[in-house]
Amino acid sequence: MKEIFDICRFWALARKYYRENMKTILIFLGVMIIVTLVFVCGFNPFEPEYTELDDMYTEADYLELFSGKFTLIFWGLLGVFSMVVASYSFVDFMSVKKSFGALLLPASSFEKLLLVTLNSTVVILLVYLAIFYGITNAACSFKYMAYDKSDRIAYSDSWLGFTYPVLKPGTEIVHPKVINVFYFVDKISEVSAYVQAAQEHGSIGIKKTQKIYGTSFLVWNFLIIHWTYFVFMFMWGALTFRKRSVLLTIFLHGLFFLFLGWLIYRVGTASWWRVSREDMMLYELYFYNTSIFTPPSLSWLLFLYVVPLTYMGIIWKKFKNKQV
Amino acid sequence: MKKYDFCLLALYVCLVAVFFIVVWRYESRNIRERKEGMRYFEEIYRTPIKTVVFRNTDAVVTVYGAGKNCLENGLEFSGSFDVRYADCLKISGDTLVFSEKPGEVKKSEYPNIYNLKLHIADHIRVEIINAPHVKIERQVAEQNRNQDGI
Repeated sequence: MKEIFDICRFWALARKYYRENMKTILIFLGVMIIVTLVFVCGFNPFEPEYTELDDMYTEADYLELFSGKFTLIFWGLLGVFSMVVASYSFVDFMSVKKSFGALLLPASSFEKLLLVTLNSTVVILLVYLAIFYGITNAACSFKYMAYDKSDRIAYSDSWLGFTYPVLKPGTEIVHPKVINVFYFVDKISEVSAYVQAAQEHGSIGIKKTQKIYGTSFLVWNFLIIHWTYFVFMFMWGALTFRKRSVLLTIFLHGLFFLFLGWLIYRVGTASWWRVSREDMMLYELYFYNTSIFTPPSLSWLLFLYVVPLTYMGIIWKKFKNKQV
Repeated sequence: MKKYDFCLLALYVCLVAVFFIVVWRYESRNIRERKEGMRYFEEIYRTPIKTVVFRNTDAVVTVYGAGKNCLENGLEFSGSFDVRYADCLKISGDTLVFSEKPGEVKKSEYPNIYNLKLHIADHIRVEIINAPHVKIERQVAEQNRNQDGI
């Protein structure tokens, strides 16, 4: 028998987990659907929104506005839902009543931790992608409509109490489209490349051969680093605090980051940030330096993977101790 | 909180230390360059100058007559100066030559890169060769020009 990982045992553990927590999962899915619908519909799903298009505000502007809005809603809500899932990921192991049964399950610590980690990262991402695209597509079909201004004949009142435009027969109605919510990765790469190109063209003394901008590969990696850091932080909180783990994790990290900010400010102002004007002057001539900071390469920032990996290592160590 | 949690503390301390090292290296380089620039100007002030030549430069420099507190060698700069362009100033014997660094981008697109004023005593001559943004405000310079038949 394999002690660390056995795929059959892992599937059995996963089936048992989803079967026993089916009610909670369904309630959570319902909450996700309702909250997403409410946000996508601007807190009022019942009143359709009509937009007039003309030469100043074209169909492209209309679609662009909604793509940005939907991307923001997706990532914001995914963050909140992931935080909830991560914070409740070890609830069976932290509960006085359930912990005994959970720890004695015939599965290794690695399999239990893997299931919890997958639930908080991959599963929630895939499930929420499906929910978001489904809900948003449905909402766009009845909530948001745009038409050419010249095609409107008059306005009319509906029996539900809202006003809607009366259009010429055959007028084309435009609905917003849900675009790829990961499009900003390429956008960031393009913008950083553009900035770099501008610097190369306009400034003096830049090392032109040095590529400091973020490629798609780097931006994808930063997204993964940020995402795993966020989820693992709340998983660590779930394993560290028995009650109110979300609040305590946010409070502790917030307090710690405030302290770090204060430390950086104090050390910085005590040493190099506060260089007096007199120290930079020779008689009446003021000396300054416009040399531009060029980091070796943004690829070095990939070492930040150490942050989520450290969190995961500590979660693993604490979880294993609990299991023993 | 368990002993493992202090590993997180150590991680953050390491990250802040790395941040400080990066910023410190950048700032210390800036400070070093600034001090080198200031030393270079001190050397100019110690050298007795008889002629100032502006040659092939787009720098915006205004030349004034000597002020009340002019230095002993009869030459003083005021305003502000980017130390990265200290190489533009070269002393050759008793002549101070102000010329563009070879291979540099023309600075006419960035007229504010120099905001330099030069105060010189009457006995110092000023020569301008292909330096369209150098202005002479003192009367003595005009006399020098007339004597040279410019």
